[in-house]
Amino acid sequence: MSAASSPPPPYIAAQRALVRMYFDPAFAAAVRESPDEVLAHLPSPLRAQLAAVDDRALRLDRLRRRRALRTLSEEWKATTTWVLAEAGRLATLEDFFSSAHFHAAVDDRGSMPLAFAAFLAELIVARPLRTPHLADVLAIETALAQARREPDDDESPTPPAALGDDTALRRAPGVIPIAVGRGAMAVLQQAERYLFEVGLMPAVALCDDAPGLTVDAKLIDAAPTWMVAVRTAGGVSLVTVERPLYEALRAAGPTPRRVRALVDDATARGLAAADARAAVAELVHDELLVSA
Amino acid sequence: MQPLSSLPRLGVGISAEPGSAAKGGIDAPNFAAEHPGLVHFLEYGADLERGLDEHVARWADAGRPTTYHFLDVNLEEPEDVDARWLAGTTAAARAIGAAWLCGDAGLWHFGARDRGHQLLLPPVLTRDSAYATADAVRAIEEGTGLRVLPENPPGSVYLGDLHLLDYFALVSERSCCGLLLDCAHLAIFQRLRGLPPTTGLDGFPLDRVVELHVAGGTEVEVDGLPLIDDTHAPDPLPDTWQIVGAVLPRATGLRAIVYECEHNPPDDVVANFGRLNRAFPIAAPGARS
Repeated sequence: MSAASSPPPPYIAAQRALVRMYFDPAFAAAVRESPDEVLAHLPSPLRAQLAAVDDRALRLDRLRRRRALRTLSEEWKATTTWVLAEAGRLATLEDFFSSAHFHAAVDDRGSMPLAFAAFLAELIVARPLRTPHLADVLAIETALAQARREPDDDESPTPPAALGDDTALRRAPGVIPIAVGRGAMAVLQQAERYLFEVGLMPAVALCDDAPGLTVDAKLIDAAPTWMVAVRTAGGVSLVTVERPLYEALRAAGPTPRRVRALVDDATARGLAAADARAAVAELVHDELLVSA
Repeated sequence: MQPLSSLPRLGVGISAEPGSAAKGGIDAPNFAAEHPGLVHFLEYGADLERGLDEHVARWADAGRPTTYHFLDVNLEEPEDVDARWLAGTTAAARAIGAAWLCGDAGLWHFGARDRGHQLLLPPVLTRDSAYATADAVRAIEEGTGLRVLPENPPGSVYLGDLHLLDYFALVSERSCCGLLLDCAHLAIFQRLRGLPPTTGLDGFPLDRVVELHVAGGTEVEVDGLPLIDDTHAPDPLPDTWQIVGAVLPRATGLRAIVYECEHNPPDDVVANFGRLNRAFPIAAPGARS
């Protein structure tokens, strides 16, 4: 996640500390109490200025965290809905801004949305949250978010002239394979339906007979299914694929690997070599695997 | 690069953002039709993700002047000026015939460019930061072929030892850029530092100010701390008007004033448009029509 290679100049480091103070009152308090420890990386004048920031000035926009969460939740709609349904407290999600994931994203110039996904993944395991398929729902929404963000190549990717064992291939930008339980999509869609229903009249959330949200037991199905998030000119879509295609894409990754290595990897995971080779050829044909 | 002196005089304009008119904000073509002589150009604020909307396209297609206000580049971080941003911004600005680019010289996002950061921070007011901002301005001017006017952003916290105006004077000196002075943002800064509204203008290169922003603000208290919230309410604060009054006679290179008011009911902003047009007519005094 980190894009940092060398320490940023002091004014950028100070900006990042200030951002963390805006979003995380506990961090702001720590800066005020122990600036020499918390901001040891900053020159003393900036350190002193940050320690002297009036806490009230950080609270001018009191909905800052909420609005940031709203935007983040747009991409992790179902996951955040199920998390809140089980945890019952908005603070569960607001804790993101106190998490190491958030602070690292700011300090290392990482992606806040993908840091949010990492926070959710940790939350599901750590609490633990027991909503069936929740980790899979998160995996689906994260794959879509990653596909949206993977940088394009400078030039259009090209199919290889010929396909041999030594041909180097990689996943096309915006192609993310995932393996999830078969019930995950249904659980995701159940949350979307709930949001739609509540969104018709948000005030129903105040009512005793407001729509509730619990996983329909009939939807639980842990048998595996394989999907690929694919970015196209029209947006990002999710397609279900056969396992050999998933395994070949998983083996390929974003950096170049030779076809022989892809096949070996897939066979080590139980695929027949012929199936793996056929899958690679099909993915090359569909331009989901491209020349390195 | 086009000399600042050859930039067109645009007069008084109105701000807009993607979807602002569609969501009930002021529709510039309609407003201009209903109130002739008040709005002469549209300043469109956008980021690459949201792009151009039907509103600005309709205005530009009628052959009316525009400027492009970026909302998604950190001038303080020259590495943020990447090839993709340059290409996308150039295309958008050219598509609407923007006379120049402008935008707050601060922190629009704090990691990779992405949506939802809910933050605009002013630059850290140090010499190093000013030089970095100047380098970014120069890189954008070279990459787009358009003049760039860095704008002083709002904030509730300003770090660094320089006065905001001294910071932008350094940026302009190093990059030879023109400047956008947001009078409402300057009023916010002066209040936070406990200074009179026009402090620092004497040492500021007002001859390099190409554009002014005027907008309403709201005086608020957060647990007893008085602050100004940059709400873009209809009525500018007296401090803001005082800055406008001090700057106008001395800003000899001024080409445009934007009244940032698009989210207000049209009737609430007509009088202020009239006042600004009287202070800064579309035809320069003495110019032939």
